[in-house]
Amino acid sequence: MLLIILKRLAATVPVLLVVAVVIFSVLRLTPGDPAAIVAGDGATVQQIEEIRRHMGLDQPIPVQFFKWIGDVLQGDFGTSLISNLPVKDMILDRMGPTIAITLYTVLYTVIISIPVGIISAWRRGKAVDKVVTAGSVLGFSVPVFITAYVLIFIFSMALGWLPVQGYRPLSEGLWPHIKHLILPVASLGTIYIALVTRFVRSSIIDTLGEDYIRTARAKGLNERSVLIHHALGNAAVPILTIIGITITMLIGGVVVTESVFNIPGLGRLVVEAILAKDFTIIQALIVLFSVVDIVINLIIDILYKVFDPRIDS
Amino acid sequence: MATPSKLTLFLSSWPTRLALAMVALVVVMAVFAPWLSTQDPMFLDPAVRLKGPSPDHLLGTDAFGRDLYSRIIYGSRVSLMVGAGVLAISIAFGVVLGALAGYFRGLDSIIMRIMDGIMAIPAVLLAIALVAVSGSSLYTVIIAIAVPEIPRVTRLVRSIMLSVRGEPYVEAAITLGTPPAKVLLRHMLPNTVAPLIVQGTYIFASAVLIEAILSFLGAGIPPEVPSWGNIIADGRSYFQLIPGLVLYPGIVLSLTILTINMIGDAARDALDPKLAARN
Amino acid sequence: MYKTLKVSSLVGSLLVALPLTMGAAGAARAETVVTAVMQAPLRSLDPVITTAYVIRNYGYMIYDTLLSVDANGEIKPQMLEKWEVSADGKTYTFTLRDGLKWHDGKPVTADDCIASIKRWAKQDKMGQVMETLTTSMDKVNDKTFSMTFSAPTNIVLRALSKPSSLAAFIMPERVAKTSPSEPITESIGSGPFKFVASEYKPGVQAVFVKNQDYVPRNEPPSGMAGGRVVKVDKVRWVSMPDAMTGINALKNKEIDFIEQAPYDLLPILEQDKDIQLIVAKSQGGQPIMRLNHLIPPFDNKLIRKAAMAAIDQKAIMQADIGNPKYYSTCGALFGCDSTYASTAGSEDLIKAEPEKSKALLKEGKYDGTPVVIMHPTDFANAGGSFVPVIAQQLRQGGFKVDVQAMDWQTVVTRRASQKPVAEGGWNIFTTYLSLADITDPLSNYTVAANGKGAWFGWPTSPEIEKLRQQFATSADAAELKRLATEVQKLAMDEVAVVPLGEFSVVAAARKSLKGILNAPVPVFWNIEKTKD
Repeated sequence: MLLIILKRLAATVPVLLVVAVVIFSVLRLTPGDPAAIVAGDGATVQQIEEIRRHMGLDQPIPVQFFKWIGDVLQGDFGTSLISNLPVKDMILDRMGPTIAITLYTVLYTVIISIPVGIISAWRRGKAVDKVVTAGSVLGFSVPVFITAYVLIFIFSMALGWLPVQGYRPLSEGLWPHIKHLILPVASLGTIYIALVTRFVRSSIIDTLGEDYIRTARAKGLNERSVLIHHALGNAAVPILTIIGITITMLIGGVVVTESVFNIPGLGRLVVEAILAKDFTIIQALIVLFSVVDIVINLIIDILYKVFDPRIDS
Repeated sequence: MATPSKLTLFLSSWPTRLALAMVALVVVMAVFAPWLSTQDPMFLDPAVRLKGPSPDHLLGTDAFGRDLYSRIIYGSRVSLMVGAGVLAISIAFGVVLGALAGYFRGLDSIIMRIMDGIMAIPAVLLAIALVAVSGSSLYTVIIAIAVPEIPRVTRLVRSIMLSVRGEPYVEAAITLGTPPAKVLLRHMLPNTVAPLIVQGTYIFASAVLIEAILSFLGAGIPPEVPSWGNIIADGRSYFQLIPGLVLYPGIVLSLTILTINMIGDAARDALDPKLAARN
Repeated sequence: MYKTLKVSSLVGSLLVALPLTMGAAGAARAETVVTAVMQAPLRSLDPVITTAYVIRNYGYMIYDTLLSVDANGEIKPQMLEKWEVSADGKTYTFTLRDGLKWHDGKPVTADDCIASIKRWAKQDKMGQVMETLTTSMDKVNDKTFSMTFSAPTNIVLRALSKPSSLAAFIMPERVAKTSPSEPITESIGSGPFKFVASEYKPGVQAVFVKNQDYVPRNEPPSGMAGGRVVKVDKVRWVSMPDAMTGINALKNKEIDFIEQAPYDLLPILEQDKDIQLIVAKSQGGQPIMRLNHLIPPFDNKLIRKAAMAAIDQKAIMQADIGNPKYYSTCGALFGCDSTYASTAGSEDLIKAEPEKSKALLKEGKYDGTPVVIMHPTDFANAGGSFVPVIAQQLRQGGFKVDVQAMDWQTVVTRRASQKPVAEGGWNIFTTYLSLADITDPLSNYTVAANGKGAWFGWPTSPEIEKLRQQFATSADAAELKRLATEVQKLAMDEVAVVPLGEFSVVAAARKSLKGILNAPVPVFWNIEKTKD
């Protein structure tokens, strides 16, 4: 077991390397010049050169790359080119909101979509199923910012029940924290509930058609028992997969949600950094997100083995 | 009893027919845009900015005084071009890479590692970064959205290649000395057509959605070009004043994505008997 | 006895408890916090290295200036106790007030002032002119220093008191010794607020607290001058992703103040009885279009004049501001209502004259190469809201136009390039200047015409430069006015810069904020927050 984990871990190293190389080279190809931005309006060419040297941007690209890898491995993520603060601190500062949104959205999604998916599969073809199926296609087709604006319009502006924007950390109280996250999580959740419900439904339907289910039914077990003990157990693997995949897909949605609701999280940080060409932040964050993605996939792979040793992913 | 043809199956449900009609409508909008629109979508008339519907401007004007209705009509062109462009590029590269990875053991490892690497980077972020690097234009946006899609197509094609490779007729062809290209083209790749059609529709829909997200974040198509995402991004500041600026393009965008996804579902049901049995 | 004991102990404990609770209640008085949305999010902390207005505003929170200008345009001492001019007019001696301290407790000294002025003068355009005239800067004692000039001039007073970019903020000597091309990261000033560095999130929020040790002047506030008395405990600057969210947040009491409320959304605020709209006329601005004089086609004066003729100010201002209550068309480079207002040479500018433009293009032998205009999509007032209108007007005037959309940061980078377009250069960019910056030919750096050393665009005109030098050394009001009008005429003829109109800024605040000053820069002293 341990050997399998180590093997998978080792396999992630080349992937991480690819990620690092891709991001680094993509950024260095960019025409913008951070040194000129930092130097300010009145700077002379000489002053800009000085700053470029100060930022290490005058070194050849491979040298910059290896220096950066070395720094990262020692926990130094560099300094933001635009605001001159250590990237690590900026990330730690803005991690909280993103983790909160992601976590709550995953919980919200799992709590709703698993039961709904099961019921939909159980009552396949009936009215309930039709509604759920139609609803889920709708759910992942409407862009998250549209859902967000509609919800803001109804619940903040018209009814005044919830705030329009902003984020309150837990330290400022449980209710303010939750109150500000209800709409963002609801907007983001719509998409993932739609996706996961679909997947749960089709996984359960698949398993229900398997031989051992027919055997269980033939043995006289009631439908409910069949569903819960046999189908669910075997559908666990694909369901875990989709949850893992959605967590990694969440980043894209989180970025837009943080933008609409003015939440100071990592999603917005990385978009702002990309538009401002703040290399150090972009590198650090994209690598961070990719590492999270890889780790989650690794955990899922390991859980696969736990649930079903037959599977060789 | 004769089994219904795949096409009949595909067209059997009325939601699917409705979805097809909607997509057809969007295509008509795109093709006949110059005749369907009432004004030049790029013409700025600040004197009439942010006005509601009027005989001259069926859906009102935006912050520059441009006609909203005409911009929405022309917006269909951008969405369809982005969808088609991303589809073409991702399928082209995905098929080639997937075939190579599935057929040649030696290339498999390295290709898949690179694909894994690209897939590990969140698609939206990679797309924004690519656009920021190469400048904002229709072509760069298409490429930026296509790149993160390529790995998924590659994986799909590769897995089909791997499963089909062991089939007797493929083994036979190889033993007979058929050149790899012919083996691939005549025996193996045709198996990918059905899944690629299904996957393709989802890619198309996803591309339209991601273009809208990129434009919304300010990292997409140049703002003068009417794309539904751009129109919404421009309109977000005036949402309460003139909700139409966000809602009209928003509804058209959502319906387009929705109907393409529905068509994808219907295609999947028709083309894969096992899946069809579910419904 | 048992009963009495109980009662007396009860009373006793009450008597003890009462002052405790009252004390607690007193200590529990909520701190007053003003939450504001400024024109742009704060991302960096050096107000000398960049002209960005939000960073200037930040400077005014934590730093102080030696001199400032009051509501009547007169120069008044701020950190200074007094200044003296020598008989020959060439030496100025400045003496600091008592009680000025840095936020870390150390006293402000003459050394700090000298170092700060030196660093600022390297970057600021007016400071650079002042430097050419300065022969020496000497410390007299800890509270006094002197500056000597090569000719009698009061430029030092005008330069050190000018409210806007770059303002001559005084910093601790060790910070001011940083090279002018390296951004400072410390926030130790001697101003009325202290910066809370631990709560700073660049691009998201900046937090300031009242500086309890600040010694304000005794005079009432007037313009930028007078006593800077802080009447709240804390000020928080936060950023909003778009204008609509900001307005909603204001209506919902989530924020108290918006520095520049979006004009189109004002009708929503006008109906809200808890919100006050403040037209800050002195904080207004002048959008400008700047042509690149170094590369074709705008190295040709006739083609530049064609561009000016093609412009229609009204349409541009309509797109930029919308509501005619808040803008005016006018061709005065130094401000429509200012001391040196003059519209000489600006006749072509106000209304679009496509035919005249086409004729001038023909005369100038325009070869049809598209002119590249940069479009900052994320910064409405700098061109995001009106570059497309300019492009359309130029096209109607016979130009071929290539509009390149980018973010403001990229514009700031690219405009520094003097290379041809094919190598990353540009032909046109837009921005806006605050009214405080354009008041005269010296502070208005767009009329500096020293070729490659000038501001981006690099116009060349030795005549203009000579006039500006004279402006620096003259003190006669009538003479100054004549010089300014001459500069206006010549600058328009050269098309050094194309002013696109003038707008006033409207701030939106909850009515619970009182005492908002009418100053050329948004300031947070004097503001009180009552119950909302």
